[in-house]
Amino acid sequence: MAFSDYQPQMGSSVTADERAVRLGPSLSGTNLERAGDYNQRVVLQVIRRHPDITRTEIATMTNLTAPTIANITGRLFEADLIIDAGRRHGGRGQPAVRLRINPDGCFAIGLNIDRDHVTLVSLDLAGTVRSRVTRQVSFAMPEDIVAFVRDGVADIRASGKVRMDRVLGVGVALPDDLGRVPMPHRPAGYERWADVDLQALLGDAVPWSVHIDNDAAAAAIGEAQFGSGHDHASFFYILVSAGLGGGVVIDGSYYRGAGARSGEIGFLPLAGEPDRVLQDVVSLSALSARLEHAGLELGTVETTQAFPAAYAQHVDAWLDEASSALVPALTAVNCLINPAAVLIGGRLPDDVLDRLASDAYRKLTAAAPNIPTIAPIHRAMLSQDAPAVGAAILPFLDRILPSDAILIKG
Amino acid sequence: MIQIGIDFGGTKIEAAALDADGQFLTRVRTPNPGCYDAAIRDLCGLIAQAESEAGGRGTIGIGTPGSISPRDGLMRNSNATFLNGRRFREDLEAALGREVRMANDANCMALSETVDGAAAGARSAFGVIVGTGVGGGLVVDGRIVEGANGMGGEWGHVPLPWMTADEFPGPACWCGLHGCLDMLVSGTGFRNDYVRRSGVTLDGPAIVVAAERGARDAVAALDAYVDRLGRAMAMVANIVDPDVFVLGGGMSNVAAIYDPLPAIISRYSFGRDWKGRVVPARWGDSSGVRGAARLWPA
Repeated sequence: MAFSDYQPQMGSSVTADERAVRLGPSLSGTNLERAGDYNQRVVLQVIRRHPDITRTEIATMTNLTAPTIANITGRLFEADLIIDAGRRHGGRGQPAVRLRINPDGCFAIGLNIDRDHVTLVSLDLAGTVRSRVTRQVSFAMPEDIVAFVRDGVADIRASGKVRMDRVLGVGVALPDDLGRVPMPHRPAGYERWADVDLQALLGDAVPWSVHIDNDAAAAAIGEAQFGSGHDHASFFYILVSAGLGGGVVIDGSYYRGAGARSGEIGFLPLAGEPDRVLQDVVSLSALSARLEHAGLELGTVETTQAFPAAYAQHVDAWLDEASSALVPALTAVNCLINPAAVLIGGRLPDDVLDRLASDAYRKLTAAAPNIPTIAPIHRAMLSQDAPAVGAAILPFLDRILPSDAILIKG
Repeated sequence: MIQIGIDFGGTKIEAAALDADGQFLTRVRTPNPGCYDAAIRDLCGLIAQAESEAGGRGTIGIGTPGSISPRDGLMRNSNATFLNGRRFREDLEAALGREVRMANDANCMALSETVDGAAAGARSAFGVIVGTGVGGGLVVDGRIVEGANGMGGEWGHVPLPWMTADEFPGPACWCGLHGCLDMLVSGTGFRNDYVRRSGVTLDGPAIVVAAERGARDAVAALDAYVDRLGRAMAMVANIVDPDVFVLGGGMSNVAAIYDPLPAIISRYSFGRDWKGRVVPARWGDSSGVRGAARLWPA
């Protein structure tokens, strides 16, 4: 396999369709090149999910033999991805070594591009978000994104919070039809996004490989890896963004769909309205339009802050319309997928997401009491920065953590 | 006088006590706990253990990744990111109730080799650390040259000098620039170059063995490596002209590099008149902890 990270034209693109295994410059050439080894990925994931675990416990969980695990953990130590967390005492014989992910061993950067904002986060392999920056900007053009990423990466570097030589890659999460779907206030020229090659676009700004995915998919992946994924192996994620997206996670894995377009609930028709679709009502664009109509602005919303009092009646009206509109989609999701939970995320205050969840649930149970199963609906744990954090996980999933693709690859 | 030296490494923290003759009295280590407060605590414990085993109190010197900014006294550029932005020396001194000297670990290596290592007796020495990355340290008249910004010796992010057209602009570096020595003359750079030439991934020693057997890509990679390292050292020779270059890190274990290097340095140096020594470090992995101990006079 050619090692193309080294080329002057830096990096390469790994799209949602092709998950090639390759490591960053400082991690390559080690035995980690066998990161294609599924067992190694599984062991790393187990250590990540269970800090301070012993080798014996890994053996019990994975059914791998002790020599295999010793071999794999040896490689992971050598690559500085795991550390000795000290020994566990008690019981007979030598106290067992406890293993933990080295928080400074491996990092990834996540970028979320949307029509109303752009967010950049950095994440370590242990799961700590090291930095986050969001810029509220309407319909950012490709050049704006490059400038934002350049500045953002320079800031990350200056902060000293991330080892830049241990960055595995940059994940990018964005809606699939960024340039194509007409949205209110979309400027002329925004359709350019339909023809943008993101790798070429970001190739100058960052020296790392670029991993691209749909924003709702990234949010669902983020939730599966770091959020409610611990509680629910199968869930349906709803992302209220400038548009509306969804993601299907089954048994801990994101289900992509035959054409990588699963979860597109935003395009479901609105009941009784042939010309409009769900995301015309359930989206930040729809909320923004309402507020604008009332002479107010959406602005940058922090999850720690509730909306100003003046917004309340408009937010209430939006919630009422949105929760009702979601009922047919939720009915279908429950009947077709039978998830353990439906999780809602998006750049809205916690209490607004909570209300959307509870109102939708109440209306669903009233409207469809006889469907076989109705999953609880909650605000997702990773709600505001979910697509960016999920994007940051993409390089990890592509290279060193388990993902379905490596089982499917021949 | 007992000199305690501590090497604050990424995975482990090691403390050693040296006697007046530079002999090890004891060496102890503990895993790097990965967070700040525990690190301070574990350091205090380690020092106490070292002094107990050595049989007395000593001066305390610490080699760290990164360095202290002379402007604001905060740590920066450390691979242990939890140190960055902290007053590490002051906080440790407060916890210990004693004075501590601290320096970058590459600088400590250079100092150690000057005191009683491969550069002993030399008036100036440049420590070349070529391992996973590239580090350096300059020692003149027995003192580490820290520099006005604490950047002395940080040659890892100058670009490879005298680049050929093929080499330009060089690989993009994580520091934001292109063609840095860190990407080219580190062990990592050596392995990456070999992969680029051959399409095969091997570790450093395996590539060297292949080169010894005459495998074409391995020979080419090793030749290119030595030439590039020689050029980098010639650049230092032109600016500082140290008596000795002392090599440490994984690539310093490749015996084959030492013979050709002086001629390459001379070829690229001004006047082509360079004569100096290029030698492997005497103390190997111990140089960090020994150099830290030597931050105080014996």
